[in-house]
Amino acid sequence: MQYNLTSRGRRATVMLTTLTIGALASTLVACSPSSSGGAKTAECPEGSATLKVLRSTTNVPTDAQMDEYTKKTNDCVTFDVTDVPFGQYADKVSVLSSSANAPDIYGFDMPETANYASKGVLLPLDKYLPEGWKEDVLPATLKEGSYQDKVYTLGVQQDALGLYYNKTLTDQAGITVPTTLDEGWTWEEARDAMLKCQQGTPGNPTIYGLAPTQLGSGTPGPIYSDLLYLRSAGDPKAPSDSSAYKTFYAISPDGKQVDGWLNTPEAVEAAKFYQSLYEGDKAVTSKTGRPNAFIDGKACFDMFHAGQVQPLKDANVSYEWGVTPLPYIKTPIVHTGAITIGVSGKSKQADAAAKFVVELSTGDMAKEYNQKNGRLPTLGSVYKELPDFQEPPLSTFYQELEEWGQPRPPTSQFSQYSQIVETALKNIAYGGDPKDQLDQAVSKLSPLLSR
Amino acid sequence: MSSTTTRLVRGAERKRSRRELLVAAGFLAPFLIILVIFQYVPVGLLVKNSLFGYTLINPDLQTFVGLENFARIFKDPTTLQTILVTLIFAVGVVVLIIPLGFLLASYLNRPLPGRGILRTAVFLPVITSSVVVATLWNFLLANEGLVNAALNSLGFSTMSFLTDQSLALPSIIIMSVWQQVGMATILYLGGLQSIPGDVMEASTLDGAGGLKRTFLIVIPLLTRTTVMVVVIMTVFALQSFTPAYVMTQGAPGGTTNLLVYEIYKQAFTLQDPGFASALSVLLLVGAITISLVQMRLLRTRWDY
Repeated sequence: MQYNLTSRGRRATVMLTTLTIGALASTLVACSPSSSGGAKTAECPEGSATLKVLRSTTNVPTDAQMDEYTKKTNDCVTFDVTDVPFGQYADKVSVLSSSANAPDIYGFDMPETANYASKGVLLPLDKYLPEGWKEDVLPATLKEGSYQDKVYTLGVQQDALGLYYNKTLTDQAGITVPTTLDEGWTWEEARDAMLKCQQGTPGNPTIYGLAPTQLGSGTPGPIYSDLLYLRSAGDPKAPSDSSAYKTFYAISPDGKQVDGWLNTPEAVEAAKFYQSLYEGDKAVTSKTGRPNAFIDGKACFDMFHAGQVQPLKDANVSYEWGVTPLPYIKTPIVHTGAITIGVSGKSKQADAAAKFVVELSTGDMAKEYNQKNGRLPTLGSVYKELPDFQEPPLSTFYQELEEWGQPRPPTSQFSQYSQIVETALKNIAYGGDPKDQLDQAVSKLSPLLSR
Repeated sequence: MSSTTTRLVRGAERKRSRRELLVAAGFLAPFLIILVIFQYVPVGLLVKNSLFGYTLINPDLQTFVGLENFARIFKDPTTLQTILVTLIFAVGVVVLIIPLGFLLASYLNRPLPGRGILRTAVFLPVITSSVVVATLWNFLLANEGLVNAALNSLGFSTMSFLTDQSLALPSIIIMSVWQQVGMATILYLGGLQSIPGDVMEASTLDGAGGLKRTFLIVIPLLTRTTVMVVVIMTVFALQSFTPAYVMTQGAPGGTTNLLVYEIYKQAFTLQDPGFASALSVLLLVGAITISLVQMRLLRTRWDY
């Protein structure tokens, strides 16, 4: 009996050990990247490929674009998509890009181009560029999509911020809102109009002068919108060693210095103005987010990009609305850049991936995407074929882009810059001392930028 | 029994014992292997990484920095503020949760109509996703939220719970207490139900009233439960991440910048995983030390 029992025990041990090893082996196999290339056939003369795509949710490349491309290639190119929320996208890239399971295609935020290119995350696409592309593309897109004279992304779309206004409310308040860039408001003028239109107590109004932001995490601080207050207090035509000039650029040309660029007297004054939008008797907006305040008719103005035009049309809102150029303090400026696509520097199917990226960013596919989603085209040739963009409200965004567009501060440490400056701006909106906050941001950023 | 027989019996026993050991090892092996691979190896890697400077995007470009990452912790005012905020958060959570958990457990230990439903209701937030809870409280505490609407209706002015430097940390402490008090309650409930009935009966016969029984009998006899609740809640509070990530992003002015959130930012956003690893080692050592001190200070002098 004793022998039988221990024999069962031994068998159990062997079985458990086998199962354990089997489970671990399965895990390792499951975690390993699978081969996704196929041999050349009559249907697929260039071979078949399954391209791994990492994109931020609901952004490019869209399901419709990938389906269309798969059809175009007779099912020779298919896609394996991983979606990540926009706010976590940069973190995900930093983890995945160095792994053996790196995607073939990234759908990323364009200001990250220098960051990713400098670290080998992206593949240069110069040899895949269609003839005449550089002459056709917006200068701002070319600049932002390039790093050390090589093009890493073509840009599927561009964005610029404008100031949407609820015409029904502004008319009631007796406000005439400018509609051309030449007549665009300064921020002082805009705040006066917002105060005049706002209903209820500043800080806790029933109708907001300016809708709480929906950009970024939905709280104050995203540099895409809020750094513009500071930069617009600068002057690009001032001498290059002046603080007015440095304020406008907010980082040195080599992307390594922020001291004396981000915390200039002009930037501090602008930050004080920015704070006044949230605090005190001139507050026109709220520190805490209120989703859809503008679309719900609860705000007179809303700072948002062209992507809101189509939802407003679709919502068939009960009020009249329009778009006025983005206000400024001294120099008009809007940030360029939007979600774009690029090829992984580690892709084993770089050719297939690059062809897809080029196809999506040019010609009919780009035109179709821009038209359907109301996003500003990056190519002059596409712009000419889309009459919607030549009429208000979309023409206002396009003109801003052409005349006022500037990339976000270019640096190979853009994620860090963005995070630290956003925190400083958020703290300023919440009541922190503007000079202290900007100085702290500079002292945190300086060692990171110099490494 | 002859010596030969004795030797044979002992030999068989040794053999049996060895085989039983092997069986036990076989059953334990899957768990132990997983424990080593997913717990101890990462901790070892964490300690190793804390001695290097590198980025996640280019992990191959490592430079050995020795203890510099640890030195930075104590030189950087932001990190010191983060550690202080985390300790205040932990103390706040534990100090509030212990009496609340005990009171709720005492109440739920009585014969009540719908007691099962009440116990479930108290425990429900514990098993609810902390992201869901944080999002819910974000809406409740917003300037336009339900709490401010209630305050306004009572004639009070709007309070910026999550954006005011003096209110943000207390707000997330209260939210965390609300979510975790169910765990303390269930643990205390178990403790209360294990107190021998004859001890309570004897104290009643000796003329002890409700308060005396609570302070002189129940609370001392619950010391072991209290130690467990204090340690569990302290470790939970030190590891807390969601309130800072979902509700405040560490603002305003870093007053809600909890340590684990700072570790996350340092590693993934600021691309300094070496420093983040050093912070993680500090958190690990700190949590173990604090737990040991708590267990020593609150050691039980009663047994039953």
